[in-house]
Amino acid sequence: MICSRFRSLLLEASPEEIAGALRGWEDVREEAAIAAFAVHIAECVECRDAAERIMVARDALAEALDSATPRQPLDTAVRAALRESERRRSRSRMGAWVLAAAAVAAGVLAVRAADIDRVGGPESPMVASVRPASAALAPTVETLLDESVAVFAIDDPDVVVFWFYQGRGE
Amino acid sequence: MKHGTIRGPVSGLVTCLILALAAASCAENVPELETRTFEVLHLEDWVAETLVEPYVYAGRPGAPGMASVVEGKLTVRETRENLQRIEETLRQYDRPKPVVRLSFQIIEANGDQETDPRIADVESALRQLFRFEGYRLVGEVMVHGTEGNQVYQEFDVPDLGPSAIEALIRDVRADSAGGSVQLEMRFHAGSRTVFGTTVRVRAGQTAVLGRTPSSVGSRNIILSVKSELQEL
Repeated sequence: MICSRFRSLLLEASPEEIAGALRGWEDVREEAAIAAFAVHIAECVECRDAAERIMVARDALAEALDSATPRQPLDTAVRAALRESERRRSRSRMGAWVLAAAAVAAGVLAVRAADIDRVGGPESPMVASVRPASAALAPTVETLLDESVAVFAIDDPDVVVFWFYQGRGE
Repeated sequence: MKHGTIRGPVSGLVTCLILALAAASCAENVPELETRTFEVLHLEDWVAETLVEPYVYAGRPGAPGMASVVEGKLTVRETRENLQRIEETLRQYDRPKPVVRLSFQIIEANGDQETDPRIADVESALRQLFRFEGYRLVGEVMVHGTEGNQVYQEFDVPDLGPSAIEALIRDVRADSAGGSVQLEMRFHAGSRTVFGTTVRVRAGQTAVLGRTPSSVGSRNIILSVKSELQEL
């Protein structure tokens, strides 16, 4: 698996798949669903670093949101979005539903994209983008303050949520 | 005596005939060019010139097309057909930048239980992601501007004190999909900068900004901004 292909899959993978691959990179006899990740991570230091940074950023966001939204931690929202995404995928492989589902998944995963695309070291603000539900322009965001940002695309294509938070070590 | 060779005046005549025939043949393939000057009202000179460049056949043998622009006057030498295309292209794209209407709403999470119809869309979006106790509209600001404009609006938010929205409309793109706006903005509450960010969203799309931890004490302040394009 080449790195660009892996990065694409990384953005679509569930947190459990990434975590499983990271756990299994020393022992690639993991279940088939994460075997490809685990094998690549075992071989590629850069991609392993990217996956680890994604999980750290995600944990930081989850921690930040947990304190602000006591009734529904981020993990619940993430799982719900992924379940909805999977449900829609199974309903139809093609068409607008799949695009909308991809948008939901991409929105939840946008923080990962931001982490991968991070440039200039930890002191630089992150830049993130998310695929839209249609072929229209994707929303982009850049922080002017020293913080990280997650982009959530939701069912309503007319609304996009940007959530700023202090990442770990910031 | 040599045979088979034409010399003297006869030779010259043949050469002239050949050249004349070649010239006539070429003239049949060379299109007739016209020169026209277009007035460019809204595009920058270089943008207009770049826009029409594909319609100007500068490498055409015998009759190269030409274009030059100065102070909003674009002069093109081309075939009548291409000049028509250029005219249509300029008519389509040489338009004023639309006015952008920016509607800001300052919302407090863990506010009212009942939905405020003025923030219904935003609240619906937030409820898909989080479950704060409720949402309350605490301030609203609407401003207009065009690309390059900077707007600064002060206002009072109950319990937050003097607040201000500072926004720079960095880029406006009108396209067949409805266009987009790039906005650099800051929201100040008292001496604190609650949000400082640059976003690009589709025209008509609402950007909802939140942050944790809150920079306004224990209050969860959310800022939404909807940008809409208005033709002049």
